[in-house]
Amino acid sequence: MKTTANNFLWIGLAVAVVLSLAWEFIPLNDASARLEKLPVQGLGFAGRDVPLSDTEAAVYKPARVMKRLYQVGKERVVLVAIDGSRDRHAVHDPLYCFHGAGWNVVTSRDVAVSGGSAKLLTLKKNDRTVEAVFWFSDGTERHTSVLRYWLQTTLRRLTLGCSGEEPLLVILQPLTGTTLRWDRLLVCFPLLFEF
Amino acid sequence: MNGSRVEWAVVVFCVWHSVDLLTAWRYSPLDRWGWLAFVLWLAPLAWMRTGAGRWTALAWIALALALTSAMAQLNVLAYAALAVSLAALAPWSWRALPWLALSVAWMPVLGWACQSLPLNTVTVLRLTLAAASVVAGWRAFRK
Repeated sequence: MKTTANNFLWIGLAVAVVLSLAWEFIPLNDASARLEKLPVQGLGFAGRDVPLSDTEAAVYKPARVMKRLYQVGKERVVLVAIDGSRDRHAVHDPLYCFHGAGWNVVTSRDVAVSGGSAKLLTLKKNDRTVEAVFWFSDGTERHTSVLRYWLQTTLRRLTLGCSGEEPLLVILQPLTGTTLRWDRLLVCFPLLFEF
Repeated sequence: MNGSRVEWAVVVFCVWHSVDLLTAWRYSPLDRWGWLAFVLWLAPLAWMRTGAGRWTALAWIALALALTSAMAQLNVLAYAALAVSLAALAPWSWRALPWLALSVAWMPVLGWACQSLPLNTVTVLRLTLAAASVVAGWRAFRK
């Protein structure tokens, strides 16, 4: 009886190993096309791609990450968009990362953007205070819930991409100064909130 | 040590899918000392009764969780699978359930859930839960 149960477990284990390996090799459609849709230059804004630091490259590998510096009017912002299609583990809860890096979240509020909302954070570390905005976007809807992101990406992987588009994590931070005039960004560069 | 070869093979399968634990313990400030919590949580297995009845269903549950984690790229399931696969090596009784639940002490999900607390508080909480798991395991597995 015990031997039979063990034999069934061996078979189950073999099936699990095969399925695990197979799932790694089945390609999942990524969000490259959406990332490429975001223009580098346009009326009222100009940007350039910024290479990732060694640490960032190590953390995000093998996910696709776009890091771009934009000048929008007088605002200079750094945009980081992470596509976890190839490795969802590269996409972390931004709040968790900020806390882990020693930042305290002083204020946190949702702001309306096209197709949903983004989260505007005021962060403090020692004497330094900065702002950051983040959201998850599947190209149509934007939200700030990491649980919803996990649910979307989990369903997507279990259904081999049939459940929808891969959500991107997008983070905006000011390059200079401490505040981000997101309302001006919304007006001057709406495409930033639409990809 | 308890456990048939196939149950140990299931543990190895779960370890394979849990390798990101090492990265979390090493680099994430919210997960530091997680390795110590893991060692403490494992300790009760050292004094469990050998040859006592195990519950094969646990190995199947671990297998299902690990496979789902691999397909969905969801680490939290892989870590739960690892905990359950190790529990499958022990003589099972419902008294072991608190010990199994306290496996959260070494998991990154604890750091995530407590991220708004100061880092030191999270570490103290983690090690306190790990110490509680030693007591719970001792009560469940003592000879």
